[in-house]
Amino acid sequence: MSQDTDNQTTPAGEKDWAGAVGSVFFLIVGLYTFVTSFGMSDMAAMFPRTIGAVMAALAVLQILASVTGRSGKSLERGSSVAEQAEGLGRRLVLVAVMAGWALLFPIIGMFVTSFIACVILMATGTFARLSPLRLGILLGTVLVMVTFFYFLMTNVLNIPMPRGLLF
Amino acid sequence: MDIDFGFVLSQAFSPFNLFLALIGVVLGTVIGALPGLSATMAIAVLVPFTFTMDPASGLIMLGAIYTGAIYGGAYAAILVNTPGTPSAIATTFDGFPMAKGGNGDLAMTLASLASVTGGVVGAILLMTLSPMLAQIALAFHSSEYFWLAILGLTLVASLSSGNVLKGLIGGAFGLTLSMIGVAVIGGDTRYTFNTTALLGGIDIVSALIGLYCIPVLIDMVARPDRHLEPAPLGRGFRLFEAIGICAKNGFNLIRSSIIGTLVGILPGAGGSIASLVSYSEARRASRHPERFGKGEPAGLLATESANNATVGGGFIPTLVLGIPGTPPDAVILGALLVQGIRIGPELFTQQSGIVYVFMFGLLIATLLMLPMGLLIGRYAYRFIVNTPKGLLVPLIAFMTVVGSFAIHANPHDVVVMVSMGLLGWLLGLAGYGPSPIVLGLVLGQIAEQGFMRAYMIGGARGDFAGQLLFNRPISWGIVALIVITLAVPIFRHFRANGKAKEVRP
Repeated sequence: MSQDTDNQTTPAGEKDWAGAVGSVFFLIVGLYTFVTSFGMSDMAAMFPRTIGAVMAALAVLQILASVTGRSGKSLERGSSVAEQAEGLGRRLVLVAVMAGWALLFPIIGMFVTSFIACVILMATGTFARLSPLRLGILLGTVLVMVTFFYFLMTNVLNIPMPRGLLF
Repeated sequence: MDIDFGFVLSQAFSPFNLFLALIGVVLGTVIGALPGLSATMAIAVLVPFTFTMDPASGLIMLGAIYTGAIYGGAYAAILVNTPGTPSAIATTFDGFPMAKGGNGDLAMTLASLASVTGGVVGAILLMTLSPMLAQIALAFHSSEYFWLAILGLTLVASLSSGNVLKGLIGGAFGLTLSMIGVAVIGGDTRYTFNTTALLGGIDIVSALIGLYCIPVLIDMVARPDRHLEPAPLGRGFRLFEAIGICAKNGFNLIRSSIIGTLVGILPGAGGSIASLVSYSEARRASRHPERFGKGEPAGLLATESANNATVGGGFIPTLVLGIPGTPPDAVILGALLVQGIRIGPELFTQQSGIVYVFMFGLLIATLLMLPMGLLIGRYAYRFIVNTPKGLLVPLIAFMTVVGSFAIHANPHDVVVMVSMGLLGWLLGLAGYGPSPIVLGLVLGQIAEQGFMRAYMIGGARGDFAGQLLFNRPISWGIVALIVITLAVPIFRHFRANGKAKEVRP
């Protein structure tokens, strides 16, 4: 249901190691939820205790299914681990830009961080060599886009954007 | 009930009100299409302007914005694989694969036709059966809401075909995320790791944007190919082709619209799960269930007709009982009260004129959605297809950041959005899709409230199991649906295994 569903399924009988690792994560979260619920009041603890126990039990079943090759097909999922190798550098740049953007915009200001982040992402999403003219057009478009949404938020929707050290 | 239809029709069809309905639909569609900008925000911003209008005009405009925004949610779901609202989750299942495969134009036209059908059915049921249908909302108590939330999660889990376990685990994880912050019952602070930032919990829309949008962006920058396949030139709206598909799926459309209206009546849970129930039913009834999730038009028709039918359904408890089912309903309820309109059964007797003008206005706005939706949808699709990735990536990324910030004007929501996006990306590698997690987060508080109220009432009576299930006939029905939902994929799995063994020498 996400992308390229046909070639992303786990063939029947093949061990699903990525699924097993993911299930270990959920097992840990389930156990943590269950155990920490004992430090809460009865009213607040009952639901997390139940859900934590259910999640841990289901995760154990999924781990068993994954390592025995009975995990089944998964229609809604992202790219497989092997497919992630393609363009890994660009993927990591995007992750780093998004993380930096989220952390820095309250400090530096929404407009400046957004413009810088958008320019880096523009370069990350561009694969062909750009002529100076085309580069100028793309940079101008990014500037117009950031200005438009900034104006929309501050002046039309009355949402105050963080101005930070710059603006 | 004495209704002056002459007054109602002259008000609803006045040129000024038609103009307002048109503006409302266009604004709602555009705002609903932008991830993070919701129907609630659009209505809340425009409510003060409606105070200067007469009540009928103001309400028509608000209704038009609402119905347009719900429809607009399909744009992001189909073109970017990001549902603008939880009610559009199931639209991504078939809408995005259709767009990815070069049928985005057809998907947009089908979404318009289905949304109009669902909206019209919902509005007609709202006009004709409101007081009677409102009793459905009253028949559901806390236990039923708990089971309804579990039904929603099992439906999503079963849609991860062949991997119900992963779907259920994802749903349980979503429920766990919904527990972060102050407990809905008990008031304890839970899972905040002693940070004030998590006291308010995880915002649903931030999580939704992150879980769906960030993995799409990460995949977009990795490959030089186009985000969506372009449609061959000269195909136009593909309106007649879409009408033909709708005619073949007429029963599916009507059934999904009725399901959307009826499930949409249930405050809180209804809007989120109506489209999932319709999608699941469409897949069950289809001769080709294996095509669902790979770009099957019937799946798109089911979800889009259902989620627009929830607009009419949601207004039933709002207008009859004064119980708003969704945040936009609550804002419109506030606008009604400010205009001096008293909500409740007497609304349909003493102030029937104004309420029927509003309902007719909603119907007209829904019909206007067809030409406007076809036009806007066509250009939105062309824009996404023709915009180079170098601009599309920063545009979508900027909208995710601004959209998640705009929810509460809180930078913490942006951090939540990015964190959930990275988590969603990593979990996607392990075969865990975002839909069960998002639905678990949406339904978490409803499930916990239902479960804990049954626990408290049952505990006081010394009969928790009876209060939760055994003394509640409606709960039996919902639990039976849950069992069937879980059993069907398991049955299919064993049948497929049996066939495979027969083929093997």
